[in-house]
This record gives sequence, structure tokens and C-alpha cells, in this order.
Amino acid sequence: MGLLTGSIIDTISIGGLSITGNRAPTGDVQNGVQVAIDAATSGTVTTWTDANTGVITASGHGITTGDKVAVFWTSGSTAEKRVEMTATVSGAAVTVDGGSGNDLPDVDTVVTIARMVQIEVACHPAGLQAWAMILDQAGVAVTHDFDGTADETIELTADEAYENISGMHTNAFANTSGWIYVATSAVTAAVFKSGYIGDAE
Amino acid sequence: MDATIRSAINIGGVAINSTTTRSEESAVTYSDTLAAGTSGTLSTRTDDNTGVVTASGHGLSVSDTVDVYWTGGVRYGMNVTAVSGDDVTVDAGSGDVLPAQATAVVICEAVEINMDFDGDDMAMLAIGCNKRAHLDFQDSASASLFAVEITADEPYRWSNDQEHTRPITGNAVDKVLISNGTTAAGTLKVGALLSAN
Repeated sequence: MGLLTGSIIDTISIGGLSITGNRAPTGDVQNGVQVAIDAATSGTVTTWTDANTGVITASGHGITTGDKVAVFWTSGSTAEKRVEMTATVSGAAVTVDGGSGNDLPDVDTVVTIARMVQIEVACHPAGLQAWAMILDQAGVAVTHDFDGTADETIELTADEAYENISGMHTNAFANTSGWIYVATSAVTAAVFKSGYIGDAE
Repeated sequence: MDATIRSAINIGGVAINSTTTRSEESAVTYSDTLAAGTSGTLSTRTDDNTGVVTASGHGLSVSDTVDVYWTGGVRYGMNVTAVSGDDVTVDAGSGDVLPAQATAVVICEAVEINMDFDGDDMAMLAIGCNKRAHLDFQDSASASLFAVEITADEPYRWSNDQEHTRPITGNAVDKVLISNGTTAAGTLKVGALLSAN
């Protein structure tokens, strides 16, 4: 058991019941980050080349060539996205390519596009005791191992923490996470927070 | 009907305040005293799922279903196949394999409570107990749908659309077998928020 301690205080209201609790995960390593996340920019798919290649025209996007970007749209009532696309910029036109997620939608589909912010973390799956992350706008986080390989894509609902707590959740992480790429689908700047505590491998 | 999970998290110097609210049509709940277990010793270990627990004042009878707890493990749904004074022969069950002979244990009858709901309709599930406890959600054929150990004062909670696998699927829940892993009575609470289907 490590010397570091976190706390998770729960207050649950369900069906008239009140359930409270207090976890104190311990470990010998922990890290916390709080990072500003760029607002997404509204745009339109102006060219659809294939399922993972196209051009999005979005005035004032602030994206530069080489950035990883995420594209968000709604299909029917379903929120869809494609993440970690590589951007090539020419004025308001952003050519996007690659990535993973849903197939790019048709020409003229309204989307939001956002630069994915790279955040350094160090989270070891074998020793994980608790990992919580939250975004105050809707968005997505993609964890990467130290070699840069994408591991888990986590959809984040505004103000709802994603948690992976030993003893309650199946450990979702196969590899040590070295970075997280985070983007919001909202056209408002966001704040991302992450806290990890665990045992060193 | 709303159900809400508020979590105040502080890890690595970062404060994370999370509010998860789901609105659905109904909820099923349970809240009652959880009877204490009895302390004892695994006096005979026949194999991984068979042994004799010696526990004074256990109050158990042949054919009871019991859960056996020890530090670091629990075996649940065991059958009491014989009782001779303080000696309770237990067999079968699921969970961790029985510990080494002479290990201190708590043995507790798994009490059946009636809860009827379809896990596929759940939008939220919360379980809390102020004692170590075990719950085994079962269908009408007594097949286990979801078994979970609860640490005292550390609620289990699940909400849909949060990346974690739905814990109960398939057949509807018909009953829950509950037990206490300590020698003091506790309070167990279970709530499931359900959509109408």
C-alpha cells in the first residue's frame, strides 16, 4: 500500500434512497492535470473524399497543419465523431484524414471541428487504483501509450466524470498511458481535469 | 423520476466534482438491516470449494445457502451439506477458492430478497452498505446475473452511457441473495432506476 491517498465522496439519490460513501484509494504514484481545451468551431463538410478523408470549411478554426483534430456531428439523434484525424490547413478549409470513429458524413453536413490537445500523463494499468477525468463540456479523450499508440477512446459527457476505480470497474486500460488527446465538441472553451492514483509497476 | 450520483473526487491534487443525473420512469429500491455473519475458522479444507467451517453460534441448517468471507476473498452461494454442532460443512458455490485451512472466516446465510426488474432497462444502479457485503442478483431459475462484493461505505454505482459495461443483462432479475461479511449487523441499500419498456 502506498503512502498517497485520494478521496472519492459519493452522494447518491435514487428512488427516494440516499446512499453515501467515501473511498480513499491509495498508491505510491499519483498525478493530476487541469488543462484548458480549445473551443470547437462550427463548419461544414465541403468535400467528402472517402470515409476518413474530406474537407471541412470552418471560419476562424485556429487549427494548424499537422494538428490532430476531432470532428463531431449528429446523425439523426445520435452523436457521432471521428477523432485523431490529421489536419492540413488552407485558410478556412481544413483537409482532414485518417483517424478513427464514425465514417465522415456527407457533404453539407454541419459539424464542429476541434484541435485535440495533447496532455502528458503517466498512468499504469497494472497498478491502477483510481483514475477520474472530467470535461466541463461534451467531448472526447483518447489515451495513448508511450509509443504513441491509441488505447482507449472515452466519450465525455459535460460535468460527468469518467472513472475507473479498482474493485468497481473493469480496468479499461491495456497499456501505460503516456498522453491523452482531448477535444470538446462544444463551441465554448472547456476545462479538462484528470486525477490518477496507483501503484508503480 | 430523477436519480443523481454526485461525486467529489480529489486525486493528485485535482478536485473533480461530478454530477450524473438520469431521468426515467420508475425505480425499484431495497433498504433494510443486513443480519450479521458469524466468525469462525475454516477447520477442514477438502478442496477449493468444499470444507468445514467451525463457528460457534452460527444458527445454520442443512440446505441453507451461505457466503464465506475471509481477508481478501469471498466464496458465495455455497450449500450447507451438514451441520454438527459448531461444524458447518459447505460445498460448491462461486467466487474465490477457499483459503488455506485454519484461516479465520465469517460465514453468513445468504438471504433472499425479492427484487424484480430487467437489467436491460436500467439507467442507473447503486448499492451501498455500511458493512462488507455480497449480493448475487439472480433470475427466476436462480442463475446468477451479477455478483458483487461491497466494501463497507464504498458504494457500487453504474450509470448508462458512461463507457462501463451494463452489469445486468439478459433475463430479468427475480431475486437477490445478500449476506454480511462482518459480525455486526449493517444496513444495505439497493436502487435501480428503470426506463419503461
